[in-house]
Amino acid sequence: MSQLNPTTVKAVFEIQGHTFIGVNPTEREPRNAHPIEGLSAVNNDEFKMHAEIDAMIQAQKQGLKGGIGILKVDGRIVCPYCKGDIKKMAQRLRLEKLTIIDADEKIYVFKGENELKPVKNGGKGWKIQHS
Amino acid sequence: MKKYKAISIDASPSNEEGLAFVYFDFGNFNYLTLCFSSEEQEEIYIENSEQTQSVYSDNIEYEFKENELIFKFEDVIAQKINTDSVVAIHLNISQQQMNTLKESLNAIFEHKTVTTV
Repeated sequence: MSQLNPTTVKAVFEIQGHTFIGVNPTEREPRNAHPIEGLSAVNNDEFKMHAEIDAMIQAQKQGLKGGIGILKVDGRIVCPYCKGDIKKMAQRLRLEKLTIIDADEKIYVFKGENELKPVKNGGKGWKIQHS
Repeated sequence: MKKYKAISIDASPSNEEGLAFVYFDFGNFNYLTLCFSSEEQEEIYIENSEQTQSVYSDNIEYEFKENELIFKFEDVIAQKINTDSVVAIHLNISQQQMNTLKESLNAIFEHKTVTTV
């Protein structure tokens, strides 16, 4: 069982054999300000982005695209803002499949372009839990 | 009581993911945000300027007083998000923004029996 640490959030993102680790803003070094277009208000700048976006944006900066992504989160369950933003990051990374293992050990899976769309555009929500 | 001046406000009663939210920007990456999705949440999500300063709780009330929006948190909630139990946010916004703000707060709090004090 994952321990829900109240002071640190860690997100580990795996893609194409690479591993990227993100942490919550006050744990991040260096902690630089840089806008991120198109994400929600809590994640629209690198200075304040959550750990999950931190991990995924590192993969984007490396130019990685396509394939399968696995995001494991510890310390806090994925917040409502990140639920939308993680899907957007997965679209930017052109992932065929994204699996999220949340801090409460619930597992979420998004397959293909359509499931990653916003809920109002026919995309999949996070309510359905897999395995 | 902690007092803030909002330099900008982002709010929606239902964004593209069906999330009702309000986000008050106090400058220098300080903010207070509340959100709720009736599809995916049981309680309101509250975050104060940092991912770890966040909590899910319905033990929060709000009221408009002149040009301020006042949030009242239960003490344990205030402690978890590292703020005072009463937070007053000075608003200088248009009527249209005020309408959107009120709609968004209604959407966030509508699952609660008592929504305002």
